[in-house]
Amino acid sequence: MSDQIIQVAFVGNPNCGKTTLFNALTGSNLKVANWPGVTVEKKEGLTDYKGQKMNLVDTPGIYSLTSYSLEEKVTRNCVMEDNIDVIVNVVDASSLERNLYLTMQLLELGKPVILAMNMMDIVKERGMEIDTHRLPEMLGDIPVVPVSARKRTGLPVLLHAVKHHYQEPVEKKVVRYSDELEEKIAAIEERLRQKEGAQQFTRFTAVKLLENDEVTKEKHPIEISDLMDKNYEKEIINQKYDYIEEVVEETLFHKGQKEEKTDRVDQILTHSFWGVPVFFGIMALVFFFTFTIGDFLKGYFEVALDWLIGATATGMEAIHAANWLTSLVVDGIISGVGGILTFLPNIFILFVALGILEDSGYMARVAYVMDGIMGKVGLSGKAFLPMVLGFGCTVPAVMAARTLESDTDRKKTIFLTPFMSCSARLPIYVLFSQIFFPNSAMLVAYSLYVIGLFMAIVIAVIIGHVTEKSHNHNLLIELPEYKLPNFRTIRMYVWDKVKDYLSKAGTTIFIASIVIWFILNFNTSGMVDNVSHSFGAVLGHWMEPILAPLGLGTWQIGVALISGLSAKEVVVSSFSVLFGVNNVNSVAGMGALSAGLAQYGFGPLNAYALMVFCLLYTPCVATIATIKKETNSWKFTGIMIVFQLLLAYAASLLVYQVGSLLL
Amino acid sequence: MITTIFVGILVFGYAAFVVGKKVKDAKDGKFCNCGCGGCTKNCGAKIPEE
Repeated sequence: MSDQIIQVAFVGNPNCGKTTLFNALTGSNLKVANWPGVTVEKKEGLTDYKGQKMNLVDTPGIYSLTSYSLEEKVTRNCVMEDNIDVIVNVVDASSLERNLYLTMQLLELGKPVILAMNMMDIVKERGMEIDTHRLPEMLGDIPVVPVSARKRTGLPVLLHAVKHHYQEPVEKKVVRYSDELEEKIAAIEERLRQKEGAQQFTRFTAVKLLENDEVTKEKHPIEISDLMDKNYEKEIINQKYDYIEEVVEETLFHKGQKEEKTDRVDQILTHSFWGVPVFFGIMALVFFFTFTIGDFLKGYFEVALDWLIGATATGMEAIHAANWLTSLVVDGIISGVGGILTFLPNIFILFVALGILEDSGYMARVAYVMDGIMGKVGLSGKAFLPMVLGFGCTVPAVMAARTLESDTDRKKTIFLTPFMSCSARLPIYVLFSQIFFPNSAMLVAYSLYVIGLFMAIVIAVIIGHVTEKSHNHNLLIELPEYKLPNFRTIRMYVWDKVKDYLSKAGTTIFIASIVIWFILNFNTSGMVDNVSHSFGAVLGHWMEPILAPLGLGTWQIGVALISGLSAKEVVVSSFSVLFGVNNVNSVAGMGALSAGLAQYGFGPLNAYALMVFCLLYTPCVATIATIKKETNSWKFTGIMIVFQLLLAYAASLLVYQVGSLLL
Repeated sequence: MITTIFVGILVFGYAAFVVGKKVKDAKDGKFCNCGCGGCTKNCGAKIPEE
């Protein structure tokens, strides 16, 4: 048993299964999806193998150690600058040829490397065979371990290899370049040693300098112009690929049996004309299930909530709790938090559907399908992937914009992402569309998602005209093969989202419910009998004239919209507390809320204007904080907040005023 | 009276705990859970950190 914790970095191409492997080994539940670029930040987790502790570091996927985008820099810095003992190079064994390029670079570093051949189950399914005896011989005698992260096979063997080989650096030259190149590399290595003394990565640095790599040139400014009679980058890449070809030729058998199903399905799903309508059709289907199955399940939650309200009220009375405390618990906390929990079935179905689309490989195609439209608005289809993530939660979506290489494109994408309707807004749509549009609730909710997309595209066009143009919008994205969604992956994905929702209900919405109860029941003189004398009413009345042109000129709506800044679901819980409705998602609750709002002349048009406002206005505080963190600019964040507020106001005004003229 | 104080402590104690945790998470730059990228260290944490 050793007290030392071995530092292990998982490095590999995008979408090769590093995070799935990391999750399997650490018991973690980091986000995985079947498209490249899901991990944008390095993540650390601990594991233990027979008494040997290991700190595993999951890194963003890269194709080579040349760093252009932010997440590529993260991986390169982790491998080259952090205190990593051993690199576990995760490769997709079903695409060995493409994955081995990064392997060749990692071997050049000279650090201990272990090759984890992931997706061996797919290799077997396709009838391919890999010679796992010859392969290590051709890769400098590094340990080669076949694993399947999805099926959790080969994991102990991998940890065993880490434990026993983490102190064995790669000493052999795996790729031998032409004599001319080897002479130049040796000369540069000598100059590096003379100027900087003995150091790690000398051969790798020399090769990178010969490739004219900007980052390496900055870090190692040595004079090599006499050796650089031409650009050797292409030659070095070609010679590496020549060797990879040799490796593949000797170790991979029956490689011709590629999956053809994917190509057949792609003829429809990524069709140049039908691709976009198919995407909208699939999203419509997602909402159909979200509403129909979700509504079927929510009845059970309503019964449970009714029981809880009754039992709590009786219990509080039995223990002679003060009236104000009973009101706080029953009318404030249970109405607010419980009301939100009844939307859990809808959220559950939405994420099951999104999880299936992600894991099957379809979501990666969305970037390709939308590339034409995104190209016209000055962005690449790759920018659409973070936006798709925004249907779940805007926080990770904003972080996922790191995959974009240009800073301008990244900021544009961050700016557009909040227009994708996140799952927190779903309860608002479900509630108000079912109350005011009972016969077309699903269609109304779907229209809001389409408006969000439409707005993002319009805003992108406008931004494209007023900001600097980025030069390259060519889409380079690896499309994974279609596969049957993995039950475990979907289960983890959905559980994670449900847990997040429950945790939000128990924390943010719990606090928001208390705050709303307090501002509705107190003023400067203490507890009030009449809600119209409360702090909340004063605040709401102040907002009434501002919101009146939108058809939202009721003080309760002003309070609900402000509270929605903590989390968008809070808009719904606020309505519960503001109108004293205990089970807002039940038929009786909806009736009570509808009657309460009708007193103020609030009808379907007002409801639609409210939903449009909620779709477009300032995102929740967590998103705002993430935007500030990712852009490192209060100015950018401030502009976004004000812009979204103004846009929401203008769009709702348009909806209400034009609607009033027409209806 | 005693039950009111007891339930009050439970409710407001939990509320104070939640607010404290939110403030700490925000200071650590953590705005969502591990699954959405909120944590960067001790993800999963199969064994306790030393």
